[in-house]
Amino acid sequence: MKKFLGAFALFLLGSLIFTTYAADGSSGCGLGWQVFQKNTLVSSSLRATTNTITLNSIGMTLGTSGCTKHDIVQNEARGMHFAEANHHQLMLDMAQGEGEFVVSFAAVLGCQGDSFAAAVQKNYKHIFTSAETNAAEMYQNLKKIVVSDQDLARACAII
Amino acid sequence: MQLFKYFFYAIYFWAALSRAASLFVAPKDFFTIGEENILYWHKLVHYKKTFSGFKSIADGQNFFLHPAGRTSPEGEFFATVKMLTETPNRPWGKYQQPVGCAFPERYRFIKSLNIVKNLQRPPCQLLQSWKKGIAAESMTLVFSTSYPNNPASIFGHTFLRFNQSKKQNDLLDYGAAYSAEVDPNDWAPFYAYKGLFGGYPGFFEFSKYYQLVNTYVSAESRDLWEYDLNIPQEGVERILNHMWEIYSTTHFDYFFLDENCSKILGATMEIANPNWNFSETGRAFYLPHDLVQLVSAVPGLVKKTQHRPSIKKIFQSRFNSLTSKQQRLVENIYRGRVDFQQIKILQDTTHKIKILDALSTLLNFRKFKNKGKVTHRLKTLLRKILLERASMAKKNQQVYIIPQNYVSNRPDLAHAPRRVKLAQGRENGEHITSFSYRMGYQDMSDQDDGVMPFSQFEFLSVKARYFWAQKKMDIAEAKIIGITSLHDYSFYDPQLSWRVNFSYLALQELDCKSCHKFVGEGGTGFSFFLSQKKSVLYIMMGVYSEASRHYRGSYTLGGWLEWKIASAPIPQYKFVLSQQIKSNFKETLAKQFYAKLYMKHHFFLKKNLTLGVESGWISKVGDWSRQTYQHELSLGWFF
Repeated sequence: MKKFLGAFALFLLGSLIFTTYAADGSSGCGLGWQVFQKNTLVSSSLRATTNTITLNSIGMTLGTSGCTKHDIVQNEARGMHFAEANHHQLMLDMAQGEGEFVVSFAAVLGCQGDSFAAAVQKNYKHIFTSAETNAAEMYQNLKKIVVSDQDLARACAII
Repeated sequence: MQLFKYFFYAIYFWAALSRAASLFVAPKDFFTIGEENILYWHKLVHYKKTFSGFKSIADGQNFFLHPAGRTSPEGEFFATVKMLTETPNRPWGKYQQPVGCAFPERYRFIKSLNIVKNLQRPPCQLLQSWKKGIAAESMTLVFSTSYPNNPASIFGHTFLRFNQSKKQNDLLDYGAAYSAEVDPNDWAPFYAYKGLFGGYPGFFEFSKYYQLVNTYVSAESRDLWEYDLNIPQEGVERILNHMWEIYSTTHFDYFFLDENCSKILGATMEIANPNWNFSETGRAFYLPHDLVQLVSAVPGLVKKTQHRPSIKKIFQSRFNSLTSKQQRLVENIYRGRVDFQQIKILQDTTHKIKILDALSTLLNFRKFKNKGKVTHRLKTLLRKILLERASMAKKNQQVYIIPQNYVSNRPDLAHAPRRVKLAQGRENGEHITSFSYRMGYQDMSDQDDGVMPFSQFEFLSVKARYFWAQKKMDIAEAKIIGITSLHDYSFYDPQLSWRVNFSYLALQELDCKSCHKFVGEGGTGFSFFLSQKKSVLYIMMGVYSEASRHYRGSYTLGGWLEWKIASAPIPQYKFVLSQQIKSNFKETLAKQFYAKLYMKHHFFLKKNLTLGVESGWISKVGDWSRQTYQHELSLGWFF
């Protein structure tokens, strides 16, 4: 029965293969640039993981998510990973001064959520300096502003 | 002196023997550990009953400490006890950890049996760091709804979220999904074949929940249903222990229809309570819905159910809260017909914020939809919107609100996949009784609770009819597969709908009794969802090919045009009206056309019980006056 079902399902998938493709080369640091590549046949129940899953996961839980290409220090890895993975959502939430992503970002950075959200909204144009600002630049800009902006400095215990 | 030496050796051996004996109080046989513990052991090593005994579905050799451990629960148990007792420091698995650290749940279980005195293991630093990072206190089962343009996801997907203690929100938790590690270089047909027949290894993958939300909610625009589970921390700890065991010693060959993302996840969840059965449905296939329904069926296990809407739904919610004039403004700015200045000059800040937030969500949705590719104009527009929005400190009062009694896509409410149907009807005045069986899953006239509204995904169905006057049995239809994927065509998501069908049908458009044909067809067109998605209208066209020895040359080729309207004005009732016109390219113009018209009323008596009243009219080829009329009253039961 299983074989029969398998043959049937093969037929099913084979007949629809034109809508899909199997190349999913997701790997690397963060998710900001790779999330788009996951929109494939393999993106739901068959997911390509070219990174070693376990190492990646261990790295994640230990806060060493492999983001070495940004040359950031170890204790900033979590913040950088979050910034990169959620770049597009953060762009909106930070402009709106509210939202789950900006509040979570605040928590990652050790900042108080609502105050952080309001402060980054106020400083938005200095954090996202152009339409092309990427996650790493945004993160660096944010760090500079935390030092100079009193509201942000108050909202963040550590960054 | 010599005597003293022998005496010393004797004392030494006696002491060593005594120590070994005191460490391991071996049970007389495996069965003395008790039925419940045997059940737990079976779950822990993933044994399944076979004709000749047991066999584990785990496929990594390092998962077994006994050479015949895969088929011998008893042998594996004693080998594990022996290794934990005699060589606890022996490096094992991917990370060459001490064996007790590679198998933390087996270690905990055997220690709890009290058959080994003073069972100890070295510190498990890697394991402890991993668990500390996850910091799990409780657990949530998450269901991702289907992604209609992706056949592999059509049934949805499930994964777990480990909720951290003292957490502020969900995004920073960890999620664990079981999935196959595919080879991206595989040729597509091989890829499909290997995915179906266990050609890829399946592993657990841990990632931050925000990564999963990004992937499903944003990139693929799928809803998430989150079921907070009432599992004590000890149970969560056991599940994590066991995931670590799988993680560091084995994999499971991935079978798309059976040993898939949800079944293995269900089997792993059983570790928290061996009396649960989340991995067996009694069917040859296992669907993500099954796991959610099996979990929901355990009294008190689901504490709370939450809905996390897709980015498209969030935009729709924001867009629908605008006035029609504001909606036109959003559309015109998005299309570049109106300058952004038109928003800047708006005086009412509340309305302005709603428009800006709707627009920015729309642009983000499009960005994800286009896999990050955005035109320069839209990128510049988004920049302007966000700068304007950031200059307004006021908050947007409009938030996404789940419609009351929202059940669409919610998997615990879905009907069972298989269906049997008994019908009594007439065809051109002749009494017919029919029986049909469908292995899965959803037809456009079935109840929509828990599935994509007005979706169709049918596979392996057969309908047999008995003609009372002729005392003859016949196959009316045998469907291999039928998929209709409807997309609401809109300016913000101008996507075509499509459908494919492969079936074996009674040949009714020729003067031919008990004749049949094989049909393959595919087409595309436009769908429009109306009245808050309670109705849909579509028009599609496509091509078909039919094979039958009753055709000239044994086959035909042609095109078809179909319109259909389906509506569910109240939750207990749905009707479908459709008409299809087919043109046969091989015949002369006079004999080219024939048509089918169907009207179906379905009354949903219970979740798994449907009463149907259907009528159909099928013309003969090239002769519109000669027709087949069908009427049918049916009772369908889903199981």
